[in-house]
Amino acid sequence: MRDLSDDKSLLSLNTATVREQWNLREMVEGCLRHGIGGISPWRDKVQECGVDEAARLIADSGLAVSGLCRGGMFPAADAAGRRAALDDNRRAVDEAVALGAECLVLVVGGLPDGSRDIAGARQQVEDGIGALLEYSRPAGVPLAIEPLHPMYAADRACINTMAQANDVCDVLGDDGLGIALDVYHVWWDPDLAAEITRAGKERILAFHVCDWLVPTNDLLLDRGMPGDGVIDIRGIRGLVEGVGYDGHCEVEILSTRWWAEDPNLIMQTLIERHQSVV
Amino acid sequence: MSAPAAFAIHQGTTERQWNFVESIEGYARHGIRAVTVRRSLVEEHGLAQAARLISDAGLKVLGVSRCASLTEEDPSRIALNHEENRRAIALTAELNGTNLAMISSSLPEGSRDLAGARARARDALARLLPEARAAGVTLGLETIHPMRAARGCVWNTLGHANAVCEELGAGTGLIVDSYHVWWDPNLDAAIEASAGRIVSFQISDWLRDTQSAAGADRGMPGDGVIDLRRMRDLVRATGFDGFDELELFSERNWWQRDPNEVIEVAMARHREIFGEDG
Repeated sequence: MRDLSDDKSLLSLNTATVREQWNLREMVEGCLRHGIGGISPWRDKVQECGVDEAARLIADSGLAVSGLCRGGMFPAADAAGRRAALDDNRRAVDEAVALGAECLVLVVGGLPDGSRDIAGARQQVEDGIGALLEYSRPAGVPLAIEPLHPMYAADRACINTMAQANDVCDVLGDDGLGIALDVYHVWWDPDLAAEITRAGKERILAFHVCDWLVPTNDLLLDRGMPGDGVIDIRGIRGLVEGVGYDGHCEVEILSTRWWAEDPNLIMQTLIERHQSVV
Repeated sequence: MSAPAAFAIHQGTTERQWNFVESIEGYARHGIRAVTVRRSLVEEHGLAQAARLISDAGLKVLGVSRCASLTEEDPSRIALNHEENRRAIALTAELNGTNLAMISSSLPEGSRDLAGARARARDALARLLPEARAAGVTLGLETIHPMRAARGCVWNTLGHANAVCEELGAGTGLIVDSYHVWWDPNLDAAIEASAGRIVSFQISDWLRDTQSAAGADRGMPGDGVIDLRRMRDLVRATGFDGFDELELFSERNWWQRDPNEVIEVAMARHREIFGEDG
């Protein structure tokens, strides 16, 4: 396992962590000021800045781009909806190319409005990723399926376990396809270790950290700073690195509490926890 | 109008509004035939009187909810909880209940060792089994949604709970609650593999805009995204011929209403979803 006790270069800032405080330029400058090695922007921040300007800003900074968040949201109630999702996903691939992102993270989408057919939604996801791969493979952008916690199965992502993500990779092939593992979503899974082994180095394209707070007061916006919750983050990093993962540890904290804090204090805390907890 | 033959109710559904006596009398008034009782309410009322009241009301006891924590680390707490669970088994037998609901609890304060908690829960069950077998009470392992993995229960998929039953053998069974398991990509296979072990089928719905990570924002059957008809068909295909037990914890809606209305709406939904004679 890598020693992070003195590291900052393997830390990557997911822009959601400070999305309420900073625009993309401020985030890039913040990463440089604090010596953090990578950034993983959300598309809203990229679009707000302008894709060309964002690409220039990040290229000039020398920051690694550990991912672009996010594509996905494949299921829809009708064919027109699915086509619109695919078009938007192709634009996300273009943006990932422009930014030099190591992968495009896919939050795959949940049930279409009014639907109770989760198996059908899952099939739509598989079909949607399959269709997107025809565009992303030639573009050279790996797609990273992010299994989301089962509590988001209805409204955000109906891929909810590592096993499911591995199954989709089995069906669609490993070329240009893999998994983004976020500890928040998978920490509870009794099959986690086995499914990380099954995924192996080739499939694990991104490793995201934050913590599960007790109590958790909001399903979406109450994630914790690493160390403040109950996830054995170092244990999971050990599993991921045990199969050869050598990429960034990307911090993504969606938290109304942290969004109210001074972003420079957050950056300092991220570094401290990266070195002591992660 | 009398209740659908297969309709049963979990006392937690009305626990904010009705005390023990009011609830038992209320259920009987609506023609309900079977109930899962809260152990705390039974103890508060007095076991002998509670048993008489239930029997006078013509109600059958399905389950008793719930056991004391199975995941303690401290030896004296382990011993205390073991004794409490022995008394809970005796209480269940006294009420002619079919199962004691085993909701294990999970990580002790300050712990991040979920695997350890899972092992302790299994060991605590094993120690209780001789008592349960002798009393003719099934220990019903309840699969609880992964969002409750930190504090609520260590069994978060039906497959995992079934594996524990497989290991421990006679005297163990499974409680299948639609709210907790609906999202599981392996659900169909896991239900099929649970044949002969399912002791209780509980119903409520998953609301698309659900608000509570504590599990107290459940939906009335029909108001959410779960295909309850399909799930019940799968459960019955295993040979289970018991009740459809309404377990509806709802801070922001149904716990605020007149329980008579809650029961009437639920029985009407039961007829709509499962058919007139369901």
